Amino acid sequence: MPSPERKEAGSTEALLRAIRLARHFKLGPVTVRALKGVSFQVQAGDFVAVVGGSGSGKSTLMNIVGLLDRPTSGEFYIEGKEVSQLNDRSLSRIRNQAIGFVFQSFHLLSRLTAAENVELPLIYQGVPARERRNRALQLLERVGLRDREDHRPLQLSGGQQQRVAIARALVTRPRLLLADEPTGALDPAMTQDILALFTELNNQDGVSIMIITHDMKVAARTKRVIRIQDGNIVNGS
Amino acid sequence: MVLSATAKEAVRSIWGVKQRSSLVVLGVSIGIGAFIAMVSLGEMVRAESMRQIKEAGIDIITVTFDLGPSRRGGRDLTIADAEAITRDASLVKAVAPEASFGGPAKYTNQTWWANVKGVTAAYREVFKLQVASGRFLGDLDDLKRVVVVGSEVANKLRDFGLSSPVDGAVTFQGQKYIIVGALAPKASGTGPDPIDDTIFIPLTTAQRASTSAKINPITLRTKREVPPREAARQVETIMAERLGSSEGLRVGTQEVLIRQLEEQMRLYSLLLGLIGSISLLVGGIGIMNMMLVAVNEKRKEIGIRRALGARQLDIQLQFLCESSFLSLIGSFIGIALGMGAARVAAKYASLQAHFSWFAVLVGIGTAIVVGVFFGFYPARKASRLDPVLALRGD
Repeated sequence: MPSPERKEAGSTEALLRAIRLARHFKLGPVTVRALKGVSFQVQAGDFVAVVGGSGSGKSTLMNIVGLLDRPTSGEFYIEGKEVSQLNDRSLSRIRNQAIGFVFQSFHLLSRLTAAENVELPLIYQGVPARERRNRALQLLERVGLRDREDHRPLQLSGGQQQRVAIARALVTRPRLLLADEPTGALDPAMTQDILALFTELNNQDGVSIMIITHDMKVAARTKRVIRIQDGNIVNGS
Repeated sequence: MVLSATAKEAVRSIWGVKQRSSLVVLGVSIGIGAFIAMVSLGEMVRAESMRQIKEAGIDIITVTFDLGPSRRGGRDLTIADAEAITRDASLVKAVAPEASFGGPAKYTNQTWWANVKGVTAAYREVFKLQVASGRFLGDLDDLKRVVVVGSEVANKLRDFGLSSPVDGAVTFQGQKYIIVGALAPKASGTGPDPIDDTIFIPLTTAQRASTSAKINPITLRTKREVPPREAARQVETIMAERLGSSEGLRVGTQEVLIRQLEEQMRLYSLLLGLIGSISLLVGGIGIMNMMLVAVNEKRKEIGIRRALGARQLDIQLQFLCESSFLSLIGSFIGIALGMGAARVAAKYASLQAHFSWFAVLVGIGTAIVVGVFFGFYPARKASRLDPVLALRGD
């Protein structure tokens, strides 16, 4: 099991490398080609936005990058390892250790406290309870919510919930923070707040971040933009 | 650890929908309760039957005719048959012919229906009767109007004002019979014994008093350490010779009876188990229904957990844990319910209630099986959800 702390500093491998990724969905007699063979790379330490309108295929791309879905064809490498055809067990482990998800609607479990939500990914690593709690509290501290550890999601504002979600995404020290419209449900002030946090995490902590968004203002805060349209990357690969 | 966190989560989840959970637990409790009650009752009945047979002794052999008079050479069993067996059957220790009939008996101005048995002195030895006062019937009582009363009859007479039955007298069929003895109660705490409610008179007296006093059966006790079946064969040979044929003659050993009884009990247990299983099935379906609803409600949660690194196995375990807990809680209540019900039923049926670890183990075991079995399909369904669709919540 690779240590989560392991840094690929000496490696020349890209963090992510996609080669002609395609994803087709069969809807009855119709085949929808959501991705039509996209290729791109993301280096460690990158802060990249995937931008596209609705139906552009950016969500499909995110699902494949997040290992929630498999491509119909093409190759996908994480740190040089082809992952697109791995079994559930291996995919789950990589999702757990290498990827931290942040969703548009936060996706916190409402019956758990903030700290318990942050602990969740560590449960699937078999981390003992005490250590889970310590690490969760560290991350809550990092996102400025140390004093809200016992609050449940509904007792928190949208921005605070997203911070908890970010803490949860980071608690396993993943190689990639994968955010799907992370500010889509937030008002402008909170949006600025969360984007500032992303920038800080990327600059100070060296977290690689990929944001999927339709919002150009959000994309403008990243280092690099991949534009996707109609299942193809139109620039920035 | 993953498991302890999963278990904790299951408890929380069950607690989160208290009302629904308690209904499901109730269903399982009743199911397992019924199952345990049935199994326990079956076991009690079985134990009681075995006890009765053991008490009566397996060294008992019974000679009867089991067909109509036309088939048995036109005659009944006779005292001569009994005497012949006593004389010729070397493996037999004691031979007790009996003739049962009944009629109104009278003490002073009180009348009751009396069960009457004409017997010989050997009856006492064969049935191991204890005399409470006076004596039992003897060889010298032939044709005399003397009577020995069972303990219940003695009680009855006491109620009628006869404080000590010996040397009292009862009137039966217009004749006065002198009471020469009273028996100790034969019944054990578990139920009445017909002997206690019987009046014993000499067999010869009985045959003279009533034409309906036919000898049936002749009961024998074999000598110690003699295999009952061997003695039965000997008796059968003697009787067949006397009758000219063994057709319609039944020489029964308790061994056969025990085997028959065991066979019956097996069927009985099977039937009870089946009835119990049906309620168990209903409880299980309740669990499955609840788990299916839970899986549906938790689609988004399943998606989130999968995104955070839960394997299919982890999701499956989470739901299996929940269904097993539900049925386990149900089983604890069900065991208590079932044991209680069995105890009450045992009380009304005058059976000896006993705590059955077997039933408890069966109960817990079944609960786990039910929980896993009926939880398996929903859990599998949950684990196979497409994480992308689950996250969208549709």
